[in-house]
Amino acid sequence: MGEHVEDENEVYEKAPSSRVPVKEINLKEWAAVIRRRLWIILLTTVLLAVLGGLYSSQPEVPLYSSSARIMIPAATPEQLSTIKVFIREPVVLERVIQESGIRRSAGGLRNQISVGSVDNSIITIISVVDPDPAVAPQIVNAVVRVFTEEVSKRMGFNGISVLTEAVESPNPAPINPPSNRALIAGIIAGLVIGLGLALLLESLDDTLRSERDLERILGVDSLGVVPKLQRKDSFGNSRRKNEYVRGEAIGS
Amino acid sequence: MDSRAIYSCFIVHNSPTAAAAEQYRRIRNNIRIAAGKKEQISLVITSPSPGEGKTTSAVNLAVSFAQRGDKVLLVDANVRNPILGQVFSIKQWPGLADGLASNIDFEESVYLTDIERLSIVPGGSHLPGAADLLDSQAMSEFLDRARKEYTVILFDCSAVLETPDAIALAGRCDGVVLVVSSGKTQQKKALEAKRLLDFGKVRILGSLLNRG
Repeated sequence: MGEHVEDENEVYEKAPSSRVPVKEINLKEWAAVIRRRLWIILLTTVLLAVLGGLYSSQPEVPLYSSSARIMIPAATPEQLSTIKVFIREPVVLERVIQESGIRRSAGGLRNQISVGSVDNSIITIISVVDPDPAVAPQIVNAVVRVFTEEVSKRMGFNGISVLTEAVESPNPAPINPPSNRALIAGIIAGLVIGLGLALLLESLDDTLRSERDLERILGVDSLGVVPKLQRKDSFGNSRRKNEYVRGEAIGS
Repeated sequence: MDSRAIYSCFIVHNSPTAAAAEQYRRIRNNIRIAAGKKEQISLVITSPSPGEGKTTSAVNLAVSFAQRGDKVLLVDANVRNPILGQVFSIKQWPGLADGLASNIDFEESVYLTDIERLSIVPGGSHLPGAADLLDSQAMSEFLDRARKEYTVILFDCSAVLETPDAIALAGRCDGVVLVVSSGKTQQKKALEAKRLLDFGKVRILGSLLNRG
């Protein structure tokens, strides 16, 4: 008999864990948390959306890009990399600035230039981003010319050929058109941060909220829940005859 | 106590069909079950901390017991800061404190209300040491007198963590109903209150979650 009872107890203790789908409860709790802390989520979302919107609406300097494609038939990958690094060396840039007479510093120019290969081949793209759509192709072509000379002078490498020269486009389009990306990013960040804050507050909040809390945490039987007063309850338009009407309170 | 709070005290009386009134009736039945279905019960209504809805719950429970047909005596045991007289708009004295200090008869401290079968005992005068009277021979006599006439005796008592009154009084009654305010009562406080009640060998019939 005794053993049998123990078995039953074991079964009884195991049952809840296998029967209650944990995920579902979590989702429900999350939904409850979101509903309870909706104000903070909305607040952060609105705040960051406004910031993002302000950032979006700031006028930006339009930038134009121009590029040339060259071929560097290097013998070894190391040589190829070295030659590609050469493109943005101060030696080259100083000469470009001197010869083309543009008002840029070597360091600034270096940041404007980007070098990339097409699919790991020896074909290399040199791009320049500049606020002036006419100046960008000038710089590109100057860089290509000077760099070719410098490479042959200093490294004795002469095989560089230009596939496509940079040309000024007749109707240039800026590469950074005004967008509301910052606004969208603000909204998303606001939602994420708001949700994080809501969960943080929830984890810091240790108030009792449900009959389950009473029974689980306090270990006291729950007798029931008194719901919030509905408006129609408290201000019913049908005053009953037996309604409890108060007189004046004496003292207080 | 503003008028809205006062109104919510009489939700069971004024809107018997409201969801809250329905719940109070359910809680009333659960209390009877928890108390072992005795025909006569005496209860202490309290909460861990002040302002969690004790008086509102006490009045509504009293009314719902009265609706069931019980003769109900609702006692304001909050002698330090009595409020029940205000809720029912009657004099605050003579009341429980005067009765216990044996200045007056039991009958003189009991007031009839407009609600059938519900009588109340207000807090009474501010007497020094009134709180000690709650746990005295006089209290036993008061209870014996009350039991002769009433089937349900409810004490609206101060918070457990505030004063020792609730625990002292509960020892003479069938048990305690702990009012817990949803989203306001902290677990820590509730657990501390429960520890005190357990230490006082008080029977907790159950707790009532107040969302109002």
